[in-house]
Amino acid sequence: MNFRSTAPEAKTIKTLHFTPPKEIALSGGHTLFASPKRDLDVIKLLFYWPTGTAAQPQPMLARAAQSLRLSGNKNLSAEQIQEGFEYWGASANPDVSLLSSTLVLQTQKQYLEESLKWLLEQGAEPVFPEHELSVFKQVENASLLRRMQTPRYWSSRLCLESVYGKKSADTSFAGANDIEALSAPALTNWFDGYLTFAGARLFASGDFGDAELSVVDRLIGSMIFKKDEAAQQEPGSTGKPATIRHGMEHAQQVSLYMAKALPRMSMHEMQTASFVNMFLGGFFGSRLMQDLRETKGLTYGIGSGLSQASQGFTWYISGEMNSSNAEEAVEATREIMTGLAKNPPVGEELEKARRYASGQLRAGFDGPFSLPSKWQFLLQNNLPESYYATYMDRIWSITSDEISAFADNYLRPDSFTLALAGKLP
Amino acid sequence: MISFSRFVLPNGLRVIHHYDPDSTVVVLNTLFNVGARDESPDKTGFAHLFEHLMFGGSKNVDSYDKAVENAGGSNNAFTNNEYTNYYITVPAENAETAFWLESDRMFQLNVNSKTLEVQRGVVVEEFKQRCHNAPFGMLWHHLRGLLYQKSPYRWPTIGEDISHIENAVLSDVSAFYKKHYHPANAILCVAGQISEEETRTLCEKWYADIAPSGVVNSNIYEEDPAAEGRKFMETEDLSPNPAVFMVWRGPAFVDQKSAALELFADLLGGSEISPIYTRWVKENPVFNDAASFYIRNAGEGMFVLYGVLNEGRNHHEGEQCLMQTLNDAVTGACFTERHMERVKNKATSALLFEKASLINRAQKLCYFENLGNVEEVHNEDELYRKVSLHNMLTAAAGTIKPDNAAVLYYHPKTTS
Repeated sequence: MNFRSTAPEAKTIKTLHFTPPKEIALSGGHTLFASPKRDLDVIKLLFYWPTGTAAQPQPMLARAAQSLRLSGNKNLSAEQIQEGFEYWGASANPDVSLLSSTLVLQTQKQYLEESLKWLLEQGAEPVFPEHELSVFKQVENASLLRRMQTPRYWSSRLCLESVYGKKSADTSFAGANDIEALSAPALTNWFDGYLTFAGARLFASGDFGDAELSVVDRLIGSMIFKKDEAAQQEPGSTGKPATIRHGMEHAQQVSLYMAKALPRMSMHEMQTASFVNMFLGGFFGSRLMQDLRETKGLTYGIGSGLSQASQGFTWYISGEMNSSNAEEAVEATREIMTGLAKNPPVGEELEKARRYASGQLRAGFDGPFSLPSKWQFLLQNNLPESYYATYMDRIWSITSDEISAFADNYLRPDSFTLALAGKLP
Repeated sequence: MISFSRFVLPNGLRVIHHYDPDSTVVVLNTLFNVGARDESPDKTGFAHLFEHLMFGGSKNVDSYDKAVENAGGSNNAFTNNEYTNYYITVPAENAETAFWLESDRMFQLNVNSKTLEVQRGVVVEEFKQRCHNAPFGMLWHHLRGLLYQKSPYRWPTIGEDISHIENAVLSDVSAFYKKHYHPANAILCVAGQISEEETRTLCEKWYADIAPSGVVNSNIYEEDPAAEGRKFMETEDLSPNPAVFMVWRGPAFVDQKSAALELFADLLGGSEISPIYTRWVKENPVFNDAASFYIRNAGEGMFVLYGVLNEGRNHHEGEQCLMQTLNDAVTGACFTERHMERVKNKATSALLFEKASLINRAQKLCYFENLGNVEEVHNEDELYRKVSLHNMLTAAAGTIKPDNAAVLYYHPKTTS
């Protein structure tokens, strides 16, 4: 008998294997979540602020303030500050999302004290020098121009602006005028309100043990924690679903983007949404990928996902394809959306997705730097630590009928806005 | 330090085992020593097309992806000019599924006309998405074409021309598989929560009966003669602004000079405090983006220097700015011992963070084995540490000469 013809037994994964981060109160009242120590010689120290673009009064403000926080203070220039980090082989990387802002200090363990001290000293009181702001505007304008040449930028922008309105908490696409309007006083106000070290929570991961904790406590513990959280801007009023077509002369393909707003949900419903999305376009074996790419060869990639919105989540579908394939792809996508309610996954399809999702859920905790993003998600959505364990249970307990009912409620094609941008069919 | 053990099966498959007790998964990383440089000039893009076909099922596996997903795993692959790399991650308790899947497609891939037809369509769309729909999408076509006349490094992995993919036929791809996809031309790294003993047992069981069928890559390629004289090209293509790109051929990975050039490129234009950036983006804003980097290859490397011009600036001026700063740097006017310490610390940190990922460690081990000696993975940091300011500048002066540059002027495509 050919031993290869028999697949080895693939065991089901029903439990998670990870040690949660330790929640530690620093001397000044800051909370630090410390991941289990790994012998790597490197550390990531993430500063987290619970305010992001959803609260900014003008587009680009939150990102500019965070990006430019190390661009100069009353003593040192941007170059001098950056040189200080690079000399130790360290970096400080800012990021801003809809509901949060972060700054990640990456450093070798042996230089933790030097690089953290440098960060706290040089990043505490930025002055947003005019020249640095001017360079930032120049670079952002060029980057905007580049993005605007891609069909994907227009399909997603026009779709989301139609779903939420042009200037809502969820859609602050910055134009050249918004970039030009950035000013040092506005950046300073934003920074002082929501990005000070005194207002940060911290996540440590990598080679972070007691000695490193004591360094961090000594350097940060002297500040008194001050909780800052901005009020969000008005959420967008979700308008009627529309169909938008945007032609682009130079384009060779069409970008398809479909989206709708999902309301705030209970933890149980969020887990259902996440699992139902898998069947739609959440992994390679999803119906969209299998039908449009693997069976019909219409696209290099198409997928769906749930992205954070100010009042819940945005459910979106996105892909690029040849113009001549676009009509067929839209039609097939709609059929798949409808099909999830009428013909929900059963048997092998359901089992396979469960196995895949549970394996991926566990694998998501693998590696020394995995926990901070998991815990940020919990903080951002006010979820308990048990979220991940109960999601594992949910994967294995959800029924076909529940998937059908959820899809029927939220996944009707006519409830999504469709945008096509690029070389239109 | 990455700990590992190495053994070779009688069929020539080289296996590297790396144990990580903190991981809950097992990674199988398979490197086949075949890349775009092994393609025929009139059938480019085949190595990459073939990467797609490897997921179309094999003799005993109807659907590779379904089987991976059934085991709770994930997988992906990439192709470059020199090799094709496949990786699969599974929960540790399902490690054997990964051995079954990876060995079966090395044993007998199911290449048929239906799979080929579908994946041809997918790759054609990928070509359009990456090259025709994105700003600077055709950049590497132009740069490689300018730099080389004979060498197979003259076309990018995606293929020189979309028609090569459109015209691929079953007999071509079958021959490609037979020639390149066999154990003696492959390296397997098994990493994660799996013992060496179990790795040996599973390798014996799943790989030992696969016979070598093709050729072991000799790694010998037609080379262009040493670059002489400036090469120049202008092109009109999708880009937001005009841009100037300058490229030089450089030494291979195993040559100590390549590490020196990597450090030099980082100092010259690798960050926002580099002279290229501070002079020409910040102080005198000729460009809105400018940088330099060195691509280290098993074969020849490439030193790249570029700037994306601001409105009102022209290509000639841009090239002069880049060259002026380059000359200052090469002649020693820009860098001190403190710069050297800084750039080496950056390199060390980058290596340490890179090695924090299990997949990266597995891929690195395969890469060094493919270069000829996996033990060299331990000397990676030392290679950077050994570079002195003097030998860095000597390497730069010997490679990046004003009169042997390949220069590309990019003009934004005009639309009516």
